[in-house]
Amino acid sequence: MSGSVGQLGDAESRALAAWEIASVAASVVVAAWGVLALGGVSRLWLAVPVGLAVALMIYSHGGRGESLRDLGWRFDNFGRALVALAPMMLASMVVLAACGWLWFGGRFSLFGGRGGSTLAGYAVWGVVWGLLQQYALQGFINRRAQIIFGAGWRSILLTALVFALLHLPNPWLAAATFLAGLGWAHAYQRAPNLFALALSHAVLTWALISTVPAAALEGLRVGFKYFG
Amino acid sequence: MTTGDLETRRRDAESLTHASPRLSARAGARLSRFLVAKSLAETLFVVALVAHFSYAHFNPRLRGSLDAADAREIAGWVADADRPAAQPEVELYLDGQFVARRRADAARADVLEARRAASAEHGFVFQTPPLLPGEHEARVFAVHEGADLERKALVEIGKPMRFQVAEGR
Repeated sequence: MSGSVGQLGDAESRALAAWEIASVAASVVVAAWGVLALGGVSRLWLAVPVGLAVALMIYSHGGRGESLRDLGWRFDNFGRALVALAPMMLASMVVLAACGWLWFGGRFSLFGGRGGSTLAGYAVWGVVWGLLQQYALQGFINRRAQIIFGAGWRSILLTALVFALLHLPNPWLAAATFLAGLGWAHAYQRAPNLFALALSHAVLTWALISTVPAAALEGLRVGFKYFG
Repeated sequence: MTTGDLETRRRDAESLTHASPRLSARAGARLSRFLVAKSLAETLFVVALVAHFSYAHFNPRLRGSLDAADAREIAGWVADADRPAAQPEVELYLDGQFVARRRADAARADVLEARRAASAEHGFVFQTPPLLPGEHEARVFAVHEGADLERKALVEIGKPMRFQVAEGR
């Protein structure tokens, strides 16, 4: 033990944070590659890896004394977080629109996503799903990455890499999530706000599925489901 | 910049400082134990998942035998101990190539006498197609429909049988 008496040393603290990231990622892998491949039609099996990952995150927050506010469950910096996200979102939407126009002939489908065919249905699904993903990605993985590398480009890169790897073997989705993950992780380190990130997640997902045909994205499928 | 903005930024900085709170040794040990327990639970879960999948999709209760294979016919029987009345479908492969599929519903009095099925109608007989002279291998698989009806699996019945086809047949 290299830290002060009764505290973990730096190396131990980093190793523990890395183990936490790996453990949550392993739960996602078990869900995406194990349950969806072997669990048949029953999605109840998903509750086990998802429940274990959530239990770990909550337990870890408690052990480290992180409050909901620390994690980004707050509104006081919502506007500033949106400002931090705006350049990345605008750039992403322009790039997506250009890709959709140049490569796929501009056949945009504005409300063809999940959550039904209405904008309201999509918005609810997109924001809730985005909030869950951003909590795990930023509220947990980004924060643990900062324990390993400190705030800055290395922890941002690690967060985006983990996010992209969990979207394999879908190559285009992995690339898109890596780029978006960089922007989100950077914005979180400037203004930690999960609601703004969830909104951004929903808008960018909507932009992605509206501009790029589902066939090119393989219907956003990841893990074993990617293969049909 | 207003006082409120400055306060929000100060709180953000505090939150980020909190990204690296130093754990006490005791809390670190507890977290490590939790991680070990989670790993064990997930490993057991994957084992249970694989066992469930194997049982549901590769029915170990299928019984049968490939009894005869020659240049004229290939015959045997198959029954599902879980569903004794069911007459599974069987597929014939010769030298690794699919040849034919049929239901195992031919009469086999010996199977009923041995109490391996609920009725005698669990046999199968395939007519051997024209083959080149020489040695050939016959394999028969029962088609097992998975519990979720999403997947079907081929379960080999008995052991592969080799047989000779003579010149001039």
